[in-house]
Amino acid sequence: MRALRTLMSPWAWLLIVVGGLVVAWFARDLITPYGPADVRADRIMLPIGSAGSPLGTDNFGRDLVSRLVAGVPVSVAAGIAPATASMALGTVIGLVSGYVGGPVDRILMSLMDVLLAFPFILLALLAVAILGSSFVNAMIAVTIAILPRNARIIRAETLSLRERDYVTAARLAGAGAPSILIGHMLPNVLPTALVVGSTEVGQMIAATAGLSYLGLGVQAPDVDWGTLIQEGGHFIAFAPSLALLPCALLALVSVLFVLAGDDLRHRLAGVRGGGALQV
Amino acid sequence: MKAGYLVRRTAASVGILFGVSVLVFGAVRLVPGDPVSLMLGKADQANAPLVAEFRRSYGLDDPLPVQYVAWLSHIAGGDFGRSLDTSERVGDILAKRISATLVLASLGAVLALSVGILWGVAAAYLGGPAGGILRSAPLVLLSVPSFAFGIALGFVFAVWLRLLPASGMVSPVDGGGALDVLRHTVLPAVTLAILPASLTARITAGTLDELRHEDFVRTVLAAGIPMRRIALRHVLPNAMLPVITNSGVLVGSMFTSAVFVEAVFGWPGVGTMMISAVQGRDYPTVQAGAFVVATVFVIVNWTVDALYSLVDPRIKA
Repeated sequence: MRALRTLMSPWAWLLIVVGGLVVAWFARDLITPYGPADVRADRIMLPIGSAGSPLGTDNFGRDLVSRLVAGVPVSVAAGIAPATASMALGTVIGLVSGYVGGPVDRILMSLMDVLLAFPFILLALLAVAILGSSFVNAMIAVTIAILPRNARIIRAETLSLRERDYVTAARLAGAGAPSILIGHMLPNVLPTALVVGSTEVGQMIAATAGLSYLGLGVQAPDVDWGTLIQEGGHFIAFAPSLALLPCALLALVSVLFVLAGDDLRHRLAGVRGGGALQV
Repeated sequence: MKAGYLVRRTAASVGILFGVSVLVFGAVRLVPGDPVSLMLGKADQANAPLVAEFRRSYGLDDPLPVQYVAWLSHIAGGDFGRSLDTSERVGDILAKRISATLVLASLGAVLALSVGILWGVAAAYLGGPAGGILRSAPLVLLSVPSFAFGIALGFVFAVWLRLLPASGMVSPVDGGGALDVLRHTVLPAVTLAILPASLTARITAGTLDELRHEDFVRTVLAAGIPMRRIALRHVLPNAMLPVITNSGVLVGSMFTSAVFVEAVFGWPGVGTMMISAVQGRDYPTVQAGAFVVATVFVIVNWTVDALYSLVDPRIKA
């Protein structure tokens, strides 16, 4: 019974799939002799199941297996880095805003309200327009785009903690705002930050790949799953696997991350947090 | 009695709109390089009198607040400047693109709400494995990026089954009739509806779960009214409130999907306009698009709050 429950856990599947992909990346030279950017005029548009290229090749003769594997570190980084960065920033803003209150709270939250007036993708597009298209800028853009949501969630949590007895006790004992914030409030908002942040990892993977798909993220010759979907989309009528396989892989990984985050929410029952954000 | 609430809410919205305008104006100012290098060719940039004349005529030598006020008064008059790419008036481009997006979004919204509510009710009232699947499916669907859905649907219905067109808004040959536009709208609208429908289903199922244990439900149940009738007559109308409150979020999520859906299906809407404007560094178009879309969302959210305060007697001044 316990074995079955472990098997059903999204964390187990996440570990298997993402672990497998990371292992594949480290073993990429053993898996395929072709590099992700190797152009081979004699191997153009090979179908699935071809010798040497089990998933086929694209219009430049580049091997799809090696290109999918080359996208692994980019996609994993694209999920974890923005989710962590925006949750960390959101936690700082939310804690300060919620605990200090007064004009500081009003200014910070008005700023967040202005950012929240933009739909997620619009804020990301605006950030890319200013910063320019690159992988790092795409990650910064999605970090900014998700920030107001995180700051709001942590602020709400902080407000509910501020009047607790142990905080009052610390205040009466003469603790200053910084020590209360770091010593008493931060540890108590961490579960919420962890749950919301882990759900966002999958969404950030999808969002960054989305910017790459729009030509605003990873730039050639670098590859990620978004650029593969974009390039493969041109050949959907003759070689659908070129777009559909990276689509399936991207969907699988982001779904597993979101399900794992949701599982964490159920385990840490009582933790407040936003629902899934859509990309 | 509710006037006080509405006034406060309106003041907050106006404040947010002010912030949005400052952000959109300031954002383009943060771009490295100045308008001179963007709009004038290399040879003209070396021509000092021409550059000076250019800066003077565009007011670039004025202090930033003066430039901001000038920009805002132009926008208030409907003048968004000209595209750096096509030299067309940005206002005209926007009008065309917004109407195309509205065609897509209105069909998507109708689909999303009707399917989402039915789905939520089914998930809440069906037991067993079917109910379980209906309950967990929205979370899975919400985590799949909409462009992946679009490509998969396009492959199945346009390439494989050859039932529907997968690109553009009208057929290149003999196109343009209402039926032709409708045929082109089906795939993008269905793709667009998937995420908001899942969100609506989740919200509806969650609210129904809470409501069915409420006292008023127990009362009508005790009065001998059958469960099905209670669900439809008493519980469902109450379950609509959270859908209304969340409609701001729903519309926002629809815009995000719409950008990707338009890119996948080559739909000539605001989304594809913004993408090519960002790619081509066409700043007047980026500015106008961002400002207009954000303004629409502020207004949508204000309307939602106003409606909600009218519907829900618990909100007082």
